Amino acid sequence: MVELRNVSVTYSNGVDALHDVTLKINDGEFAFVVGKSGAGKSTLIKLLLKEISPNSGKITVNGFDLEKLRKSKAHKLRRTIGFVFQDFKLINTMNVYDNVAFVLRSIDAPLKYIRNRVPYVISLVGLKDRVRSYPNELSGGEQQRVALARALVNDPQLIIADEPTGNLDPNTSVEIIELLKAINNNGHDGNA
Amino acid sequence: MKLSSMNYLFRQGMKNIWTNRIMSVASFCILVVSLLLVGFMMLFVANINQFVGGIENKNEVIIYLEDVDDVQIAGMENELKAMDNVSSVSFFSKDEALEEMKKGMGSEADDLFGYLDDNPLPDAFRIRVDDIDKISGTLMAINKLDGIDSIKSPTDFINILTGLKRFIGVISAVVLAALIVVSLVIISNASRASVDIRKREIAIMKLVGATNTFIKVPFFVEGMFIGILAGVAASVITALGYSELVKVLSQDMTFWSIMSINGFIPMQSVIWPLAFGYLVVGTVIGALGTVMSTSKYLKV
Repeated sequence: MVELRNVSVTYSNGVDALHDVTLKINDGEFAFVVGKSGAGKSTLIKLLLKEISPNSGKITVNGFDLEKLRKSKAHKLRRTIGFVFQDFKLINTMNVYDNVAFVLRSIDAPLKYIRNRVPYVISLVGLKDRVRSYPNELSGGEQQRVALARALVNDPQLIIADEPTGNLDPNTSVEIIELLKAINNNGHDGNA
Repeated sequence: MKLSSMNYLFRQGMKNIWTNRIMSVASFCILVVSLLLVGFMMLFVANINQFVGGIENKNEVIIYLEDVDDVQIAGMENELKAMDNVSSVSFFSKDEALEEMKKGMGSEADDLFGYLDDNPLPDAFRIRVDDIDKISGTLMAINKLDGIDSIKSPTDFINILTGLKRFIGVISAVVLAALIVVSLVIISNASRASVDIRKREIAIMKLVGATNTFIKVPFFVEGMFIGILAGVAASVITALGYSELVKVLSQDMTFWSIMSINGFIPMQSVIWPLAFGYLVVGTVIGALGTVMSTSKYLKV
């Protein structure tokens, strides 16, 4: 669940990115945020991941009060969120398996669980045959699927997708959106 | 943290060395050169000190006595022994002095000394001092004793030597400090560059919920391992280079060969402490250097 109340963000260069925003996204909802570039979509995402803090207002994400959450504890919040970005944000020195497994390794998950969960999630996004490939050996659509698998692997309460199809051709875009919808039907929030 | 996680992070660190091999080799080389600079500087200073120390050991003071009897001699000996800073006192009678002189002159001695009915040489004490820096005070105290004819001491030479030693001490401390600071700056910059290349990676790791520790450990392993390798390499180079250097310098008739009369410090007696120092310093600088430069990118 995501809730913003009277949130405003002004950057230090004077840009008024968000002004008095109030919104609520309930569990199970599939929500779209649309707007011109510069409308503040990315700022909203940065707020939800606690990359930045608002100048005023109150934000609650998955039960975390972001005002009270210390920056050094931000990883606790981020572990409840899966994200998919326009530029995929994959680690180029790791293969598909390791990119997905990193999330579980970083939360100290048992080895046995990792070995079962990671191949399962990769097969969900249809990349069973590319497990050992590196990101630069994959097409854009495939890379976004890896990002999606990574977003899913930790069974997050919320998935944030920032223009997930921005770098993809129309056919691939449809596939990715279908995947996201399928995931949402299995019980996650969506936010694109 | 679980053992399997530690294992993963350790392997990750080792893998990073290979993945970023150009930066790894660069950091390794910089570290080796810095360690060698500091190491050879320390060997140079240690050898100078050994040289000066060797001369200081010849700090014999000879006290020539007036014509005094055995009782007075025994009294003086006790007084000398009781003095601060006097490490050894030995009596050298006029007969012994004459014998020594004859020995030095060879066969002519009998001709020459045969005409003497009386021994013209004085009795003497030979003493050594503990601390050469305090020798002038000791000499003053000796002068106050009765029955002393004259004192022969290497005061001027000693003054030059102690001055030289102090000078070398100050200069080498300054140079060593400068070397250490310079190596630290170079190394932290080098590892900053290698971390800089991976800042995108670090940002992603933060976004998927990794803790700072989890991100830092592979860097730590990587830096530490490069540091250990650099320490080993520096030790081997020092062992080979120093013994070769001593060999070459001892052959030549230069200032260095005068020094080597006293003997250079043999390689075997310095290499282990030095190798230990290399390993410790290399590991600490390697690990700290990388971890410190990672911290900059962990504030996402």
